Amino acid sequence: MIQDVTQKCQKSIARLREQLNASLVGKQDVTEMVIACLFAKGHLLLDDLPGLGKTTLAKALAAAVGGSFARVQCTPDLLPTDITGFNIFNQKEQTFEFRQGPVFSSLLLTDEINRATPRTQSALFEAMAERQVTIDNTTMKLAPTFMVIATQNPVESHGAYPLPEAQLDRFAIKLSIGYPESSDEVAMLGHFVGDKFEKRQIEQVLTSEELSSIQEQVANVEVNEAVRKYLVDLGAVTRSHQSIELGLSPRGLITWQRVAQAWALLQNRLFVIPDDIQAVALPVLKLRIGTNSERSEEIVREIVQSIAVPNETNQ
Amino acid sequence: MQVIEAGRSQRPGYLPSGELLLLGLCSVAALYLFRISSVQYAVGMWAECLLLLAAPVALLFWVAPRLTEKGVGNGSGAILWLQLGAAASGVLVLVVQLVMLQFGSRDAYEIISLLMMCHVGWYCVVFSKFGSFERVALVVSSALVLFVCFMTNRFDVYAVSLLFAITVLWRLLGAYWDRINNKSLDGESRMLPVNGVAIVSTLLLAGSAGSLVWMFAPSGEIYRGSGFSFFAGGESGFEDEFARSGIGDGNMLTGGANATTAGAVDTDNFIEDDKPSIYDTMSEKFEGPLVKKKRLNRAIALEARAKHMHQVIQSEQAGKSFRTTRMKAKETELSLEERRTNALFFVEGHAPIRFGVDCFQHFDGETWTKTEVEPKQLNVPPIRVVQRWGKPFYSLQRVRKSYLSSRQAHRVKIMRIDTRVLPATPFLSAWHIHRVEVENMFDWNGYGLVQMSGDFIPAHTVIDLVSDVPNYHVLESADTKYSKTADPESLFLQMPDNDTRPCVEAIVSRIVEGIEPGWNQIDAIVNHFRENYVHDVTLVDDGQSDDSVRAFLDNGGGPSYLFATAATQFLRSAGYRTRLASGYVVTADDYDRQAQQSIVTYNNAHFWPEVSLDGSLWIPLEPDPAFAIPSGTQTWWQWASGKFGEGLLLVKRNPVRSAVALLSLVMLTLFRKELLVGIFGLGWRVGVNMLPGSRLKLTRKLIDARFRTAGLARPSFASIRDWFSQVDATAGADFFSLWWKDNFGPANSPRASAREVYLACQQIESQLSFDRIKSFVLNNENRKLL
Repeated sequence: MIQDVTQKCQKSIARLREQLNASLVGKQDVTEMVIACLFAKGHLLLDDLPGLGKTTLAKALAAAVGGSFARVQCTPDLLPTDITGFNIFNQKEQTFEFRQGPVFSSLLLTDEINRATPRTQSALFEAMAERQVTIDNTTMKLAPTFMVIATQNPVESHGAYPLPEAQLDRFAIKLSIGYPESSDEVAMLGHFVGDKFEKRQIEQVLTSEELSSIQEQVANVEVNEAVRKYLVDLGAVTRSHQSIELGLSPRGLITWQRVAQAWALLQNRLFVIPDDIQAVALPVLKLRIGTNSERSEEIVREIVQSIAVPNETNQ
Repeated sequence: MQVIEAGRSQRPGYLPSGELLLLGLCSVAALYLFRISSVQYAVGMWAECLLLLAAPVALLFWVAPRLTEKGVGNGSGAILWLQLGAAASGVLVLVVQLVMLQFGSRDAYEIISLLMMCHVGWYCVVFSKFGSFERVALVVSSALVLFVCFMTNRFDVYAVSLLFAITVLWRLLGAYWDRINNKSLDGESRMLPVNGVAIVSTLLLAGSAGSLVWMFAPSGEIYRGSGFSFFAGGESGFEDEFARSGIGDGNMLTGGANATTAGAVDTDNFIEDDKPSIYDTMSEKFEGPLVKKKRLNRAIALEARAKHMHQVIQSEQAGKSFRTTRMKAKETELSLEERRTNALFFVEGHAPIRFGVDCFQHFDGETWTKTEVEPKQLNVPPIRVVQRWGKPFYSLQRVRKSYLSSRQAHRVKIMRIDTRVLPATPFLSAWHIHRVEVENMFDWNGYGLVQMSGDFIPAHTVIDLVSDVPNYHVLESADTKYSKTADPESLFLQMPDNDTRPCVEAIVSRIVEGIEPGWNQIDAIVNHFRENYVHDVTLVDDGQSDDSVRAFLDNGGGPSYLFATAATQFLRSAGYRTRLASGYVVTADDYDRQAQQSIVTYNNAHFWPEVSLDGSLWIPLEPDPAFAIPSGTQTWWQWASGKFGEGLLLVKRNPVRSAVALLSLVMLTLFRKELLVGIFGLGWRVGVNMLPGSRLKLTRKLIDARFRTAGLARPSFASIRDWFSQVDATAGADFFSLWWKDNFGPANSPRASAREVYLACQQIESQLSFDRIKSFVLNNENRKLL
């Protein structure tokens, strides 16, 4: 195996995997994708039923990568300032003081994001896209490793506000955790006998600096022209596909490439291969093709199957 | 097993779709319309059809609700039972045939095979919502309709086939529409399932049913069902009026083109040569190489007897009559001089063909007599000289009959046939002799035959004969119905008024009972002889009785002239104008491949009855089973079976070479994949050593080829790692690393050494061997079946 990635970085990644897998039993594929999203500086949308470990995963990730963690439980009466923060008049000082909202953290968990009003949802636009917030004409930078993990419950549609396309496009990937295998559930129940599991401390395995360094390394992962062409062809298919109303935007393509770069790094490679593009296609495209989840998997498969893998065919 | 839900409608989910039902019914209708040509009792046939159609439908309504209730998605047990049901539906056809046999009716074996296929297809249509029956039904129905279309020229079959084709097209368009709507990419394998248990069970069931047929079939009789195979008795009903007698041998040959043909046609092998051929001076029988001449089913067994017969015909004195009684003369040893072989004439063109040189009209029970007929009664067309392709042709100016569908050409070279009568092919329409265009050179004689002025046709005269080819199917149709009341006093209806006459009339009335007057009655009478009497040259009438026909009937057979005599009497008794024709018959056995021509000697002498439906055209018949029925227009099938026959002959003549070729073919078929893989492997080894820069690519191609040969071709969208790791997830790790680095890595990254690449390629080559891939594919298929 090619040893291109630094040993230190790989060790940290291995420990991060270990931590997340210990928190979310039997969901290695999900945790791998979450790590890829983190390294790609993307935001994550978890779309699944209650009780499947969305919050547990987010908290474990926050603890493992260090930095501050904030959580917002979205409700219809949640205001934008409840997320971004606000200026308050200090009567004693006779000045306005800024009270930071939960967005000023390294990792923001917005639980049931689709229950917040569109106005509140849109408060996250700037933060997610540009990692900064502007309040009263004052722009404030957020943490460089700022990441939003939003969850939404697909079954409860009453009193919910579906996320607009513009907001969805700001997330990198959409994941569903799904029910664990029965053997994993048996193991999980074993962990909850006694209070050992609840009391356990998740160890921080990455510092913010290390995370930034890895994110920088991800950005430098090589993407060959043939692979880029392959990616563009796939994007073009989404735009002409009959079942997709709105095809992939250029921003979506960039995100797809970045997540594939992160995925390549996780596979201990410093260049992207078509397999990486295919591996991350479903979580990246699920967000952007605007159909229900059962159909979206089928459509993504059709999209991937419509373009020949570059350099590996006889044409 | 999958049962498709009915959706919003109330229709049960197990019912087949309308279009598939239509396809199934079309294929059944096509086959039964095709079959009707050879079936005597059409009502019975359609009753049998309904029974066989209804059986699977009843089974569906009985079985399907129960299967659905039990949850048919579990296991393949139910499917196995349904497959056995499909086999049983084929066997049911055999059972019906067995029952029909007890009533004296039965189809030819090939028709039975088609019927079995048809009803298995129909069963699959009925059960199309289960398993893979839909695909099987489509394949079987399409194959059946295509085959039937090739075999017939019936308009109704074409109409049904057109409906079938439109429906299939509609369905294909629908499937394509679904595909472009992205609805059919379910990732399922589209291969036809093969179930060993079902195949073995089918064979066992068919074997059991065959044994039953064998046990209960009346013994001692050979059934000659009217089928389409080259070994079946009848050939009627399957002619294609547009087919030619050979390949390009007709008009092209007549036009002087350098034509090649499937038949015995060559260019100027003998035309330019005015010397006697080797067959005139030396035959392989007497002074040539000691190769035993093949004498399969030869009508005239002994040359001396044949010679004698024709001497009788040709002598001035006996030329007016022909006795059907013969003394059983002791065979005498002939001197070498007498044994001199005489080629009467040579023939180029399609065989079998007959050349008529004489005919007889009056029969007194023992002797045939030639009787001149008034020209008006003969109703012959005038002979005119016309120019065709720049050459003078003597042409018969007759009104073209509907049953004469195409033309064929033959070329004969006269050697020593001492007659002025033109050796004429049936339905002769024109002939050409080089540079001969005198108007009155040819004329009709008093017996309705074309003759040349002068005493005989000179030796070495080359004559091009153009004749029409009948379509017997048209003859069978209603257009050519024959009126028996016409001309009852005709010479051609004369019969000896002896004791045999009532017997003949009784047999004839029994044969033609229930058959409409016309060609079908004639056909029935001829088939009666072909099926019930044997060709035997020793069963001659030695003059003990004064009635040859009675002797023939009592003996149960005889030589061809007795067959012809008896058949003539039978046909006259049924009211058909008939005459006894004599001449020469040329069969495929007479064809000399070396010289590419057929040689006609006295051995080819033959007698046959000729019948006329309108009093002018004489249609040759063949009641003697030792001779082929006069050929009509060829269907593609007949052409193909002829070719098959030629192939068999070739095999017979070259047994060792054929055996070696067959063995090689079998080995090639059995081990084709291994052979291909071996070739790929060899190519890879050479390439890897010769082209170090392409090692990775060559190896990728090799493994791809192995997967493709094993039946698991990599689709273009699948990456090599994804596809190859199906067999072994750990195989070729080093190869993949190198492959990715080479194809997708940074341009400035360090290259792997040639040795490293070589080892990685060798590793994956050994890890993903063809055997391993093949066993993976087989296991995978077995898992799917389970």
